[in-house]
Amino acid sequence: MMGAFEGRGVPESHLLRTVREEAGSERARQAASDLLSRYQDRVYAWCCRHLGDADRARDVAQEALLAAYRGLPRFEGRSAFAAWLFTIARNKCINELKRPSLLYDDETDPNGLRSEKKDPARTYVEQQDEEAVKILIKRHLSHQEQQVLWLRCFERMPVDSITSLLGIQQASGARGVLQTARRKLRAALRNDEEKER
Amino acid sequence: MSERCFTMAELHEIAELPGDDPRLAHVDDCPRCSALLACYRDFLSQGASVPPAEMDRFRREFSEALEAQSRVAIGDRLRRAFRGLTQPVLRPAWAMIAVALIVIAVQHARHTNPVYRGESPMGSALITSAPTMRNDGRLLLTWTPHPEADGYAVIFLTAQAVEVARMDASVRCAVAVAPDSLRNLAGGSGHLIWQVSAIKRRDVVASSDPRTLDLGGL
Repeated sequence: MMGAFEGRGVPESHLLRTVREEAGSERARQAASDLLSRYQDRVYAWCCRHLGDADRARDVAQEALLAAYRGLPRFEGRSAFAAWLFTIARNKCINELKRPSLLYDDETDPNGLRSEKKDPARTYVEQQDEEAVKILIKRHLSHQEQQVLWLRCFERMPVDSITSLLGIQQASGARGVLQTARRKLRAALRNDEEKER
Repeated sequence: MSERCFTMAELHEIAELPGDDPRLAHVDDCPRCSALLACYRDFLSQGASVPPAEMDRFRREFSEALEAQSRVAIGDRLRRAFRGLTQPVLRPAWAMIAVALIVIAVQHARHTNPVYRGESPMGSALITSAPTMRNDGRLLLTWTPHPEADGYAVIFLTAQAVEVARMDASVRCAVAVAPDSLRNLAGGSGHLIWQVSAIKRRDVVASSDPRTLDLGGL
């Protein structure tokens, strides 16, 4: 995809202005197309890493870029274009992935769901919003454990993707960190419950 | 140190801060912000590369999808534009414009081509000739025959298109009239309009174009 603006060093801001001010014109369409072509490799590569699946990543990245193309005339430049595009791609990825439980996860702890079916701590955590969970994990987990658990539960990243994103060196990668983090969290919640009784 | 989590709009700015910026203290302490920032930095860095064949396939498919999206967008704009023009409030205006265009077309055809009905000069249209003065001092009005006519009528009108006289020409294609009688019909204007109608069983089947008769020069 080589358009009228591409390869001539046209600044991103110029392309964005053309899209906004000449909305509906052929020039605006071309500018949008050229702008997105500058980011298409990045979006696709990131979706591949985030989803850990090239086929799904192809669909999700394409959806994200087309959504950006449709939304570009309304992009007001309050954030950097890259951050805006990243937000769209991230949301698409999050929607594509199933949200794992904070305390149990088939991928890292396949026996957990069976053994802890009616754990009140689990119910408590599932019902909390993002802010409450953040406070909880900050109280009980190390920085790396917090980050890994957050990426797994709220960014919904596959475990292997977290391992490579954070460059975790230990043999079990993010899987081991997650198991430790969840064990700590479950124990902390049980202690809190016992104190309340 | 900021205790507030950054918004998505601030993400890029935060990502570009130098490592010792105090605003990063919150990020180090917040699982949400540190996870999000790690993801965004990974997005910017491009990270591990995708095999070239896989990337080429993605570029090709995206390019096709973008083309299709553009065509849809153009189609939508045209549909919206058409819907705008056909709003109920505009329909009477369009009807009036259509009527006006038809009238203009008819008038144009009438003035540029006497056979505007699609008939040949030798066919069913009536074409009048310039009047000639006979030796007996009467004005001779003539026209082409009409194949269906079983009679003709000559109509005289004022400049205001008011009919003032009608002559039965029977089956002939000419009538002779006395100029004085025409002057009387014209009153003080000195002008009359004349027109011939071809009659078939009392119905007018064709009419000539109206022609002005200048009585002053007679």
